[in-house]
Amino acid sequence: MIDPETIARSKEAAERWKKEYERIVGRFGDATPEAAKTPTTHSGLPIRSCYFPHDVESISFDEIGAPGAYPFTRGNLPVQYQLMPWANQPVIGYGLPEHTRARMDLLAEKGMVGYFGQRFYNLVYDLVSHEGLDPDHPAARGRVGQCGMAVYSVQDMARLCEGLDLEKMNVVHITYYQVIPALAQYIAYAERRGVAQANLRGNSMNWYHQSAYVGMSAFPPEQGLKLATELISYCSKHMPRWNTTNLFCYGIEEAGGTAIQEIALMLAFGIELAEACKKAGLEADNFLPRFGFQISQANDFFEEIAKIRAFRRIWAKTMHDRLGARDPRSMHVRIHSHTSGASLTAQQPLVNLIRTTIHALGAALAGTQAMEVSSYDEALSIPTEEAATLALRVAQVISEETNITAVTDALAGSWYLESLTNQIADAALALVTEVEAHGGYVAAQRKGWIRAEVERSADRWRELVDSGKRRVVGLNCYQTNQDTERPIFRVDPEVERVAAERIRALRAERDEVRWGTAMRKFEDVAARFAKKDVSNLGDDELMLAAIEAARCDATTGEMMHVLKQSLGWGPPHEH
Amino acid sequence: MTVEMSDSAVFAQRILAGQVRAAARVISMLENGDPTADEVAARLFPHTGRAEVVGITGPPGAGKSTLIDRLVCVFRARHRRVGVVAVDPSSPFTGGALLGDRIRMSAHASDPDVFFRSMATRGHLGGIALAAPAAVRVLDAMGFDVVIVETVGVGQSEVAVAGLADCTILVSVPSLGDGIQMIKAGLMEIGDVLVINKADLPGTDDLRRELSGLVAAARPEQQRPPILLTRASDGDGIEALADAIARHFTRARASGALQAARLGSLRSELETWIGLEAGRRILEAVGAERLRSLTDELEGRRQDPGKMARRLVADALARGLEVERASDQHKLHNTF
Amino acid sequence: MERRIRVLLTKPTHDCHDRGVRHLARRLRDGGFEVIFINFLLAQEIVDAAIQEDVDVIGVSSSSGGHMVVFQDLMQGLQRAGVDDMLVIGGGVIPDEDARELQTLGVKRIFGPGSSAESLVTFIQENAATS
Repeated sequence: MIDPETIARSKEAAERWKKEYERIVGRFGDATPEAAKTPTTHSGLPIRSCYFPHDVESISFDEIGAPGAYPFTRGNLPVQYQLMPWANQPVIGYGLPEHTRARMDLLAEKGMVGYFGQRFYNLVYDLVSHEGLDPDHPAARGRVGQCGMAVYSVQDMARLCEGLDLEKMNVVHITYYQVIPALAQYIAYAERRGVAQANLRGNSMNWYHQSAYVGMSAFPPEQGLKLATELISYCSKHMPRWNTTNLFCYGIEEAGGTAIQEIALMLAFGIELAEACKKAGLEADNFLPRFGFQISQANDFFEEIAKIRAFRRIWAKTMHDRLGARDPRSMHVRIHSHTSGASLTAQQPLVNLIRTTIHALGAALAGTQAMEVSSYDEALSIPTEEAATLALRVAQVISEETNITAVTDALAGSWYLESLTNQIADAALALVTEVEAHGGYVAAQRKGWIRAEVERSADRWRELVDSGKRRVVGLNCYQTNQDTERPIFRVDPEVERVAAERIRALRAERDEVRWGTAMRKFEDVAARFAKKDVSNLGDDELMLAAIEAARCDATTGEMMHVLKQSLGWGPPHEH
Repeated sequence: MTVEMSDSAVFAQRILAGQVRAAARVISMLENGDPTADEVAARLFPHTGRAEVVGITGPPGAGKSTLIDRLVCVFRARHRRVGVVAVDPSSPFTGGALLGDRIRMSAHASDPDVFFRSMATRGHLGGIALAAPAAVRVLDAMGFDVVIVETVGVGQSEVAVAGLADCTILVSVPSLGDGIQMIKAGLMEIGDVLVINKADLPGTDDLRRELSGLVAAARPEQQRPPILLTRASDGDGIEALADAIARHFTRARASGALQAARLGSLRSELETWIGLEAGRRILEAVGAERLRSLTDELEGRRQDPGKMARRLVADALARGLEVERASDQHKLHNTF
Repeated sequence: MERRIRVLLTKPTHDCHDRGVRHLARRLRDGGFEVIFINFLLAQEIVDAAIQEDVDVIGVSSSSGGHMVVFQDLMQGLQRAGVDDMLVIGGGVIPDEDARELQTLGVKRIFGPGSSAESLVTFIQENAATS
């Protein structure tokens, strides 16, 4: 990339610089900080204290290219933020559907919009529905409407979306493993409103793969892969505007994984899922354009940006070379950035505003499509209205006031950044190879290998922080003795009572016969599904039966019970 | 609940009545070497021998815990009460242990007819906790129909668990190189049922062939254990496993092999205890001070430990096991 | 034979935040304890497990809310079962005012986020009943 004369001069300059650098640093002897001698990124990659042109000598320009051109290192599209900034999509969801709806309306008023001014709602379901239970289950006590919205039926969907134009909005259903029941209920609701499935815009998570690094009860991973494939198969045929899968990179970082593990593990899973979909009879260009990615933006400013550029490159190349993707949209990494929650502290919580600002800046410089900025009170409780608004303001100040939106991939060409992007890409691909040596993502998960790898990183981080080698302001340096009691957001206990009452009323009032028939059919189909191989999917039987059950007012708990019985359910890890 | 240290009768009575707290407390006392527990065990012994003891062992990652969870489901559906003792290794450095088998039993969390106890090996070299056989008998006396003992297949634990169990199940997983593991001495001779779990993974057919071959080489035709395929995560093959276990017991009872094996176990347990008790008493008789005084001899390599030991034991026996110095008794457990 | 402190460490099934608790489990093992780690759906499961495992300490981690119900049910369940000699401690994301109320219920201490594993190990060593 650089002409030979500049290379020669660069090397000379670097030599001279290095001598001087080492002379100054050498004065400190044993007291020299490690970062001055052997700097590394937070994920442990060795870096230099200063970069020069010759450091990018071996990188071909084709690896970098232009925004919107394969391999999309610099961005998916030629235009980045010049026409409109990234979408600000905080996650909302708490209490009863009508409470969530109130927050949806409030934030829309305050400027939260999606692409081209469309309404965009990032809705998280509550813990009870994540666990696949109904709100009147004994284990639901104290948890209904906590950390998410209490939505368990088509009627709850109605309470949530009444009066909204379903065809002009994008609804993201942030579920855990109750993906299919939630989608089935949304489809059934739309039907009642006279809206065709084909016109619905939204996202399903298809997050079964997260059971490799997250500690809740889950379906067995091989069954999860099939469930994900089933939904993709159905939506590819009937819901062309529906985003089927969110690759949950963020969860890996939150569980303690490094930047490299985050992208490598999700690439490995993406490969396995894409291959499963092909076995089920789908074409790569059919389903890949509907994959989305939720990626963390954490502390190491440059590593996090390089991580995203590297990921775009290796995803595009892999999908092209191995999965036969030809449509550029199949090769794009559509990113929803989530600023790191794990980096935030409970101590001096307002300092988290500073952290999230830096994270958000990094995500913007990396060219993300959408962003969710963590609220500063993350480590204390779910966000108060004030905290949620401030989080939105972080993104708005960056997009409105800093002028970084005028230039696409502004940091490209930085010798450090291009060097680091390459380093990360190589390290990630090596890890993908390792995963595949174990038989692929699902096999590696079943062995406990993925969990062990992520946990190893988590332990290393813990050691670094405990020993003071990794400094965290307020935690192991610059501590204060102040006990900050900030207003805590509490869910009204009435929520539980009302939700339980509603579900009981639903069960009493629905057509028992229709419901019974639909549930029996769903049970039969689920039992067969459990034994099917991925290559026998494609008839979408399970999805169809789920939608019919939802039409007959089956609840989330009831539908999940059927799936749990047939597919298995339990703690995701052996040890 | 305050513990009355000398009231082994009360404990025994409560255990026979099926009281969980008493049984759990006694198992702890057995683990801690509390003499009251030994008395309780003695009182319970005549009431044992009814439960079917099933040993399950295999390498880490084989999915044993999930398998047991599913097996318990099947046993419960067949109206059998089940006790489980799950053994995991203690850290040789810190003495602590991470006992991670219980987590898979969430389906049985509040079933009164399932009792699950996690146990650490506590340095016992057999790979199975020293107190495990006694714990099994506590569960037996409580009235459980089946008692499952789970261990990680390392060291000699497979052999140890086979000595303890009436029916030994060896679990392996494709592509972990288990066939080679199985060649370890004694393994092919002791399994009553071989299970290949996660049988949907590639390599199952190869593993099955390999195991068949190894079994055929080690056992005459009538004594060859069945090889079953399971996928414990969704319960596939578990009913068949429960059936195979039932068939094993039916045959072993009918042929008298069950009784013979149990008697053999009890005899070897007797020998083990004799050895431990004798060793304890002889060390007491020798005394800590005497042992310390022999350090010079050992250091100067003037006499080898074997010869030294034989001489000490002979002396102690000749003295009628009189303790040299009473004050040294309490130190003895930690020497040697 | 030696006596070991047995700890039941647990978190709600649907708490996805288990990184801290799993790390803690390993650190407690390094501290010489026997650690039984489970997920629970209902607090009664904790009571049943604690009794069967005859533990000295029950540690409940909660990071997604709902902790008041859990601890209330747990303390009631222990009381009903006649268990009064187990040390009950809590951890995770629990607001200070809730922590204070929990202590009145009999929860000996709440270890907030950022508490060190050492402090927990020491606390257990000093406070677990050794009978």
